[in-house]
Amino acid sequence: MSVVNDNATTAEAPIPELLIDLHVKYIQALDTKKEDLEYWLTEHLRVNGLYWGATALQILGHSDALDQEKIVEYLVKCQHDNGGFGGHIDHDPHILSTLSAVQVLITYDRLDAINEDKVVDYIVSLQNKDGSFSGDSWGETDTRFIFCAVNCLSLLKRLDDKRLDIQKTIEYIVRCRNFDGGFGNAPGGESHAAQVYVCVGALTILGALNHVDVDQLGWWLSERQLKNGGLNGRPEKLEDVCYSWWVLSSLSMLRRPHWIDSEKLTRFILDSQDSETGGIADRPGNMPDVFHTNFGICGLSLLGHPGLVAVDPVYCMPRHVIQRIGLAEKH
Amino acid sequence: MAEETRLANTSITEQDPSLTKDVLYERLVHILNANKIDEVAILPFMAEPDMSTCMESDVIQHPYILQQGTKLGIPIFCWVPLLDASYAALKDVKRTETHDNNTEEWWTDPGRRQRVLESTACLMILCPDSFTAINARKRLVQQGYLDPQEECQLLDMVLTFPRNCKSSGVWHHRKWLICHMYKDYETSPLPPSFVKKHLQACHLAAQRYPKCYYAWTMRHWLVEHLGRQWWRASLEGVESVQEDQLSPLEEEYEQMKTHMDRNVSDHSTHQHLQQCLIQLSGRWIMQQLESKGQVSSSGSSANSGTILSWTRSELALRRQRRENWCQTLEARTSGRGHMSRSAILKVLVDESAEYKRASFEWVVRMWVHEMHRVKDMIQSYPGHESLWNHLRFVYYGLCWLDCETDIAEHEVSVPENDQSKAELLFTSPAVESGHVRGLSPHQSASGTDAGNEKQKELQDQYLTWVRRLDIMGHSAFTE
Repeated sequence: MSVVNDNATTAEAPIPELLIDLHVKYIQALDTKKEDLEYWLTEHLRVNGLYWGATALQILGHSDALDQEKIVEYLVKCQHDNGGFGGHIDHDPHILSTLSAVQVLITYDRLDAINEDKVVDYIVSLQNKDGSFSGDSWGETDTRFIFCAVNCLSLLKRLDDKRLDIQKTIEYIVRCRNFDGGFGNAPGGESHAAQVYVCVGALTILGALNHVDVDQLGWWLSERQLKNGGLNGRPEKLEDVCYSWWVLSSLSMLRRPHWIDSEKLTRFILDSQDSETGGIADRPGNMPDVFHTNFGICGLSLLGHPGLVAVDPVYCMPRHVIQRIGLAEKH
Repeated sequence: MAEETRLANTSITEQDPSLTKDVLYERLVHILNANKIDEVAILPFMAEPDMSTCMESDVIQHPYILQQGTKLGIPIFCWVPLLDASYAALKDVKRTETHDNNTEEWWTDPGRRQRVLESTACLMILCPDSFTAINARKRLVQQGYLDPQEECQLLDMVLTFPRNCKSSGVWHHRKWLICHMYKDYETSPLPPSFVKKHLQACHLAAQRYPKCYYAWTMRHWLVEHLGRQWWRASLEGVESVQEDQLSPLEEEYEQMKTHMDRNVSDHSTHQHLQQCLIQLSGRWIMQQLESKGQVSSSGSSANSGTILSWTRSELALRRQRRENWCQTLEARTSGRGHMSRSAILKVLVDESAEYKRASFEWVVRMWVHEMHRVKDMIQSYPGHESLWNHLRFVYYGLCWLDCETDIAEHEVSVPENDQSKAELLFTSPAVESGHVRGLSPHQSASGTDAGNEKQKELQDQYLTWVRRLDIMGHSAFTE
């Protein structure tokens, strides 16, 4: 190989194309892979998987690629008497799957199919005395669950429920703030880009971003970008496509998305596509999955990649859906 | 990973048609029931059937491998069929509940309890993130059908498979069991040996699966418990409890230093060491809060970590308060004595002085020592972002200590012949820049050109960060 060719492949390589049709096929085929380990290891996350797949398809502009009616029927079967949704039929209710179910139903404009009041009752029942929220009735607490609760109640326009103490929730999130401006999963928890997203997201929805030292946190987030353009979640960890979302959406909420190199990040995400099977992996050369496919595509949408539907940086749903339900003006 | 996935997705019945999912499930359940397994591994190959064991016992173990009756190997090809069969068994118990219109809960029936125990034990090994499985086991503990101590042993076994170390459910299960066994854990200290045992479980996980977020979350919780119980006992003057809580805390801090030496790029380790530092400073911090009437010693919501999560604007206020305090003192002596602007420098003058444990001076020494230690490590191991980040934290803590005002007045006056030092702070960008620029790699350090370049980059980033700390943070969010 000549020196000239080498130069061409390293410095001048064209940005890979976004393989829209392949990704659509990849997502459509997910429910048929019953011989795969991944299918069984994520059985308890099937509802979350639906949200990731459905959202990715919306952003790709192929909202009709899945049978929406069948999905709504399935989701209805996942709701329990206490109002919460299980991760799959016959699975215990959890706030993670409850948020995902509500997000899909709102995207499809089919909230009428479920009992909304019961969902609110369920979420309200999970608030703890210190303002935090548990993931289910067994008490695991994490700032992730606070975001799920705040996000879900906001989508249902029920943040004004009198049984809630939102001020305490804000105070709890502030206790999870660290010296570097970042947030952890609990007070004293290590700053982590995904925990930053959930805390900044919750504070954004609650109109309490004044508790964030924007430049301090923006600085820490921008340090997450590595030489190859990818982003990591903590210092000296490997880059991973999903952090394209956690970091970039947080920077967007802080109005600092230009603090990372978007061209390099775009290239990194596109390099992580599987050009044979479709789907996006955590990093180039690995096996794709629906989680990374969704956050890769949503990351590209935030980066303004041509041909994609705009995504909302707070709710991680199509921007037009958030506009339709009247929440777009709030942040 | 790709190879593991390929193997896991290979059908086992194509290799041996007799190994259906039901057969695999039954054999695994039998092994788990009949033995006390303490270690488990997923094997990337199929073992040949061991005819000798088949002859001796009537039960066929193939394709599993059992050694010394305690170590279990599961061929990777069994993973998918076992998950399928375990879920089917668990759901079947619950379906019986709904279909028979049976109002009895499943745990009231011994047969159903047994089936839940068996299927969830398999799921705990193969997919511990399954909420439904882990919740069913909590229910059995809650109803008194499962011993929480034994359940902790099961968790120890589950963690021997490194992949499981990153499951948040596994760690929450442990915490839930502890809280179930010691219902008054918020007000009474957990037995020190018990805390140590669980700290050890976290330590093993840190070795098996580095930077595992939830294992460290559990570890913070234990260390925070030790810290809180220590300062509480100490403020109440209960000597024995103080020692019981403080020595494991000190041991944990020492263990973290050693662990950090061997894992220089493991940011989670450094961050946990920071939590140890905060807890060891906790008694002094709580004393300050208490003296200002901000907490009562019984106030369980007080958290010593909170005071160390200040913002840049809070630092500016604190520096101003110290300045005002110095000026007031100077005015009182009619300009005869100067007060040191730094609360730290004075402590460092006499290296031989013995300070009372947990006093301000004792805390300052610990932080200053940590700063020297991390700078030394930065010289030995150039180019590690995690070490530089840790230095940021230590500098941040020292900035706070440097502006302390609740100390005896005579401790801060500067001798008349040394008045020029009054304006100096221990922590300032100028001083820090001098120190850091002088940090050349140790001779033993393995320096490559790329490493040195990285070191220079991290050094610049650090100093910029330090300078920015002094810029009044505009917390207010502006468009």
